[in-house]
Amino acid sequence: MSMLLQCSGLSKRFGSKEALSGINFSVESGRIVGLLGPNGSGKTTLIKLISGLLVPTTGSILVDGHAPGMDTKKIVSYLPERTYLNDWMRARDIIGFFQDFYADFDAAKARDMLARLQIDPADRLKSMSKGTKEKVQLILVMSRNARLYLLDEPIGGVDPAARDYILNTIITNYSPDASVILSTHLIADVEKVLDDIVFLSNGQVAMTAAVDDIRENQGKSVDALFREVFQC
Amino acid sequence: MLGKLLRYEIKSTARLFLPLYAALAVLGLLNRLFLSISRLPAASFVLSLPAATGTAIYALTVMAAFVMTFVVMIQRFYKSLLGDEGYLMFTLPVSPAQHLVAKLTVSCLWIFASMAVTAVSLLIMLANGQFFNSLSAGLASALQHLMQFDPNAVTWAALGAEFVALAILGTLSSILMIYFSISLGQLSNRYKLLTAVGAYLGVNAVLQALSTLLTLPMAFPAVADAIESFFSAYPIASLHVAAGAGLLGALLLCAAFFLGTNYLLSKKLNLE
Amino acid sequence: MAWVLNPDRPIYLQLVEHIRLQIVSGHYPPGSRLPSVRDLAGEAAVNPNTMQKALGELERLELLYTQRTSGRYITEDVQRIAQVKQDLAYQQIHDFFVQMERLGYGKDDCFRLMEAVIEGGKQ
Repeated sequence: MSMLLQCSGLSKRFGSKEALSGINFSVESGRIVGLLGPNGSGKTTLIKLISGLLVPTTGSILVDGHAPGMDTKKIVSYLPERTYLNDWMRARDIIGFFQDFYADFDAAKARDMLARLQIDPADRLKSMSKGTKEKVQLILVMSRNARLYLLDEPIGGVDPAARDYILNTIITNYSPDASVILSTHLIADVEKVLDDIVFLSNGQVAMTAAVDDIRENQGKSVDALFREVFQC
Repeated sequence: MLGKLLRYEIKSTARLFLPLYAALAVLGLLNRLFLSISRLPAASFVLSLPAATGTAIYALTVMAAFVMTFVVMIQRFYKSLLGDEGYLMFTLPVSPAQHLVAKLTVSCLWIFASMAVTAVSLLIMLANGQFFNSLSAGLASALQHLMQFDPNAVTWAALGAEFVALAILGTLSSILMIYFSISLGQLSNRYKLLTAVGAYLGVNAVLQALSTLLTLPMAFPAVADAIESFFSAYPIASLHVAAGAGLLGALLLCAAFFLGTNYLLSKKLNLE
Repeated sequence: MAWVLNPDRPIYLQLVEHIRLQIVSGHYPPGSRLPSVRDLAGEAAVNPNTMQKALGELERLELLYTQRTSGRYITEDVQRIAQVKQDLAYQQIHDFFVQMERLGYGKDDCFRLMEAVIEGGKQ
């Protein structure tokens, strides 16, 4: 098993605020990892550092042996927690855009997924609801044959049926060469899908473990453990 | 990749500019009609009204075109690289320098296109036999004057080329200065836009100070006299020197702002 | 439909139990081909690695075997399936007696109650 992602001594400050400090963790190929933590614990910051939208204050990130840059952007597929598509394009234009820029993009797969969710490729993004836009983004991101998928709150804003669809997409997209990191605070919904979890708390890694180890050793679900660890 | 970026950038902006350009052409054509009506021998005050309104609307549209060129230049950089869309653009396997070149090229393209379209619409509005006659007469007499000064056509072609290059480089450096200021602004965690404006004013002040410093020797009468006598002795050479100095300055500014912006976007990107 | 899984117990164990039940109940006949890991994981809505681990466990229990080129099959060893089935039945009965004992019924009470239920069911 090769290390696909390695973060060592990673810290990020915004002004005087320390968003992340001393983060060490790594992800092997072929894993689905849950990045779990309360709001403001640094999940989004960590994902943005890995995707290269932020630059670490100290420490290093290696994705398949490379620091974030052109080499990693070719193999990292990132779903932000916000809408990043411009309004005036049609769904099919965006598929063309992804096809233009990502060598690993599978346009047929994207069109197939759009059809299954009954989204008309001729629709403009402007006319879509927020939930539909999020689905289009997820379709784009999951239609790449990337090595590392970074999904920031992929199931946060959607209804339970869409939630199932999204998780199913992640499962059926699974490849032993690729890993998925997904952040969420809806733990009960995702824990069946995860191999490992990383608990973030106040910008630090509070715990890393395998889901079945938690269940086996502690006799409780990740969700229950989370509630215990982060008890208010 | 750069080609794809350029194509996408042009596609995203053309949908804004092309309708405006079409409007300018149509307004030019309408105004031509109105103007000829108002010039009819029997034209009354009422018949001259459309020409007056049409000309006013035309003037406003020209202004709108230039304001939009400016606003789009800023917006395409600020919103599509450093706003929400930046999350997409900066996760593409494209280098910041390529983004920068694409934005710069397309901005420049629209600035010159706006000028060209305005000129064409003016021609549509005003051009007739008389207009062309006076235009060619004016050009001929200007040419004659130049030839009297220096009969070598190559001199004027070279000078013309130098000033066109200066105009292009000057435009590029102005755009790059705005990009640089915006990139400085994004370093701030809370007041990105405000910091960008502050940065722009700051850079401007620094440039002012530098140019004052560079022209300081002119304050000495001896230096000023020497320059003046050089100019009267070798007027053409002086123009070359001035254009060359301008080009060098603009080139240095372009390089500094380009490298600075590229550094900020590669090493200090701060999208939140 | 996702499989119903208990949140407190290791997922792979529950997958083993689920598939084992499907084998002994004949849902997957002996010698038939099992769906791929990916399909099964999708059906159960669980992580493919976890499904892989469960199938590995079922192989260890000799209920499945892998054909290197064409995937996983249910064992053709009908006796093995019958044996597992019987083990499960014994386990159920054992659990039943444990539960009844908690309620305060001895073995004889249990037989009497069972006969009464069976009689009642006939009516």
